[in-house]
Amino acid sequence: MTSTAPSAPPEWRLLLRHEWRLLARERLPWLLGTVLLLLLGYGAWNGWHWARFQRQAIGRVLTDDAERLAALDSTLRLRAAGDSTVRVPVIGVLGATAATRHATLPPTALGALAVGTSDLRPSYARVSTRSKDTFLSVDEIENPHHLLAGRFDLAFVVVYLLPLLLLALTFNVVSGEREQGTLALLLTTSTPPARLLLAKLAVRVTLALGGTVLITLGLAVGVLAVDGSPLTELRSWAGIGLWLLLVLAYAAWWTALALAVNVRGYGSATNAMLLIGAWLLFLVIIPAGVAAGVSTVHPAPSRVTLTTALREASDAAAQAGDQAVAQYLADHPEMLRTGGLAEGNSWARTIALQERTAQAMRPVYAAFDSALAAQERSAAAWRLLSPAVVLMDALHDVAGRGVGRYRHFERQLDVHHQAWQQFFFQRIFANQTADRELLGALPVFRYLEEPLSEVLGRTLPALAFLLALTGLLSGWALRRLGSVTPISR
Amino acid sequence: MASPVWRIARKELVEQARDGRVRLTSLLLVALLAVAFLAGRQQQQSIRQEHQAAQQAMRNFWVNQGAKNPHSAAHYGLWVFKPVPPLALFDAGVNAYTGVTTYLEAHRQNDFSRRPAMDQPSVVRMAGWSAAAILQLLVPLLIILLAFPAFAGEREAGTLRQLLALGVPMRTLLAGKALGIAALLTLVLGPATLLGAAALAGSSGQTDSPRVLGLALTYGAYFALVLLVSLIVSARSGTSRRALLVLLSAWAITSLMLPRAMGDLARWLHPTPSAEQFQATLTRDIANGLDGHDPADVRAKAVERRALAHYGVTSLDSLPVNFDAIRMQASEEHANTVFDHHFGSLYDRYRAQNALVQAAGIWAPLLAVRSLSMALAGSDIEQHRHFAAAAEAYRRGLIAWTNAYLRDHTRTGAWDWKAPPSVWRDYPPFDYAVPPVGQMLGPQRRALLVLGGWLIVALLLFLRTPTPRLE
Repeated sequence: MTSTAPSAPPEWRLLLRHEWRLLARERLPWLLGTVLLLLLGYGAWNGWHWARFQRQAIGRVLTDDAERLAALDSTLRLRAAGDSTVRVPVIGVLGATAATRHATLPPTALGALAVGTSDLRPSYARVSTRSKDTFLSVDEIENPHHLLAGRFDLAFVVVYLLPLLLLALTFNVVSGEREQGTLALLLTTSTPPARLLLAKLAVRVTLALGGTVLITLGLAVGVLAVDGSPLTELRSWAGIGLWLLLVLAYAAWWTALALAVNVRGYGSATNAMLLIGAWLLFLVIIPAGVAAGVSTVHPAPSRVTLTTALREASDAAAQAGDQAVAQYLADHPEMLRTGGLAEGNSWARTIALQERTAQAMRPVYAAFDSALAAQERSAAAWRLLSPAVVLMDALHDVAGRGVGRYRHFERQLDVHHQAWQQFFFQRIFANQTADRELLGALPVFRYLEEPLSEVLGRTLPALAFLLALTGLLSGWALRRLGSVTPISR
Repeated sequence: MASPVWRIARKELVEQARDGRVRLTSLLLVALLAVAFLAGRQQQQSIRQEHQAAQQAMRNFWVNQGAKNPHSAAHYGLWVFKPVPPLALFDAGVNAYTGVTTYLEAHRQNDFSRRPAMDQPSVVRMAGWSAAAILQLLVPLLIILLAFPAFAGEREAGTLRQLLALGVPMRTLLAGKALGIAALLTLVLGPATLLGAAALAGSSGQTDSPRVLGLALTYGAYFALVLLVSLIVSARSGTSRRALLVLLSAWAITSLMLPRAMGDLARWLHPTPSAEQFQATLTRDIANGLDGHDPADVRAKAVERRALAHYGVTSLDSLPVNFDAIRMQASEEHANTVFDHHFGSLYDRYRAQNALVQAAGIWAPLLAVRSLSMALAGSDIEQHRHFAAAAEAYRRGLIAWTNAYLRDHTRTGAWDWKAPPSVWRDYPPFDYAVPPVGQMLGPQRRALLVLGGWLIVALLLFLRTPTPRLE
């Protein structure tokens, strides 16, 4: 506690200290606080473990790539030195498999805070000259039962369990005083009731949030230190700050809800039932309704029909055969700068057919993407019905685990894929042979992190939304505070 | 009907049914169930039709691929799609989280891909909804709300003293309360169950009655368990508030926290490889053999020796058949042992992880119920594994057939030879039959044990519940 000043401490300090002493005498707050701390710890550990698993998987992928390319390089070196016994893959094979490298999406410095959607999608893709469905349709290995249940990460503890603790501490903040008979006494003092109430709430919220803030900071700083990322990096701190602000706003919203229920003048038992009902409503029923509504009105486009369409298009291209090749060459005169297509250049033919397929698939993919975007837009609008869903998405965004960052990665994959295809297509049509120089000139994928402004653009509205709701709710409750009476309804 | 048990049950039923809150909650529950059944039916039916249509389209592509070298046909391959079980409208289980299709081609067993969940917004994952989820989460909540004041409430109202003064034995009182609440639940859930049955009958035309019966028994047992435990807690708690707090905490822990917490624990204790690592291991072991001492060139020499000995000739040129086909089939069979090993151990990993979660049912029987429900509905990972095995068996048969055709109709080196366009229909279409439910319950032994054990213990405790203190 604070040291006693020679003069009488200001009133608010007195209030806070008094409340703290009362609360500290009870067993339940300590018990609940400890349980929450343990759960937060477990969530933090799980998130950290997952981020480490991903980093290791990415590390292994990159090592394998480097080894494969080094072996290829030494083969080419032997061939260049005149050794005709070594088998050098033709350039088409280099672009399709042998010289490919993985494009990777490493977890952000705050990746340990949430697993989010990152267990559904692999954080690497082996980009080749082939069509993009060949590397984008790979699923990460994960027990489907775990995917269904979801992960026990910090975001889960904050969204689902923190409100339970908050409600347990605040459900009787007014009704408890009334039932003890102390409300009448309090109302006769010169202290405004609002100030009294805010002091009571402040102490309780601090108790509930203290552990959350500590564990979050500990995890974030610990991961930053272990990963060797610079602790001075502004972006990480901005993320941590944003995360904490979001959690704070969410906690404030639940507290305002408890306050709003309390000023209605019911007994503690009714308050408890109402608040549990609210928790169920916002965390289970509304999300379920939104999920059911969104997937009925904007069902996810089908990858099954996509698969059939792809086969149909590739069959049609194969059927067109020579005509498809001729058409491709007519459309891409730049491919034949060196004269005619060499006899027996089967890779050039493969590419022409593949490109014809891709062309036929373009509208199909466009329709798929726009259906997906429509679904995402509608989900983004309807989630406003539950602050819990808003917070969950925002926390995933801050941790770099949301769909936004993945789409950002996908766009870069697209650009890289096109560059890779361009690089090889020209050389395949020119019938070049593979050499070490070519290996050195391969396009390289470097993931550019999403600008902070993008993340802020998605998360700040969520924060503002939570704060606005809190403001409205607590404004209403404080206005009604004047009508609080020592007699129960 | 004059027995005191019935009288108490009737009083409990009438009193609860008069309560506006109970009526509202029950109505809401029935409405939610109805929506879940109808939406489930509509969704599952459209997925089913889509899969059937795609499967048929793939067969047509295969049959009409024209004159082709059989090995090219093997590379052309086909996709197969997982059928949707009729009961998925009740419990879609992991169906959104497993791939729905796999590509069957020469040389390689591909994993399933295209998980529907990848294209769903995050809220769907946060609160995936089905009739099963309502039965697992909300019905127990309703039971708790009905049962928590059974004894503690009577005491607070002062009526417990009168009841006991009448000389009503504790067991009669308990049985009456339990029956009354059970009757109310039957009134609430009965129509919903009928609606579900109608949705099921209308959607598939065929109903697998052992599965439906199994589901009814599982959920019946679970609701009975929740009811017994709630009454025990109510009788043993000092105040109704305390009873409610205990029961709600238990609810939150079993339905919210443990499924996630156990999943993460299982993942840690039985880790699975990353997709890339899995593929790399496959490639490595196909090249060098599972033991790492069986390189491809050594294997090829052995195949050559065997073929020459079999046909009694001394050189490949004098073989009456296509040796390339023999060699390819041998390498298929070698690769198949590698696939069996690695895919087998991956699915065994999943099974070990799930067994751990099921065993945690000792603390939270809901975990056992979830597992049983998916198994009975045919939407768990074991069902997926069964389908994956059938698809892989079909792939191996198909590839072996193309190799045999090439072997018997050509001589070595005939890569440019084309089989007539009519041969492809000779290989039968993929026809998958869902296994009988008994076969799928093997890995559910623990879940059954846990649920049965809980029920017995709860029943014993229930019968031995002491008369509550009056103060």
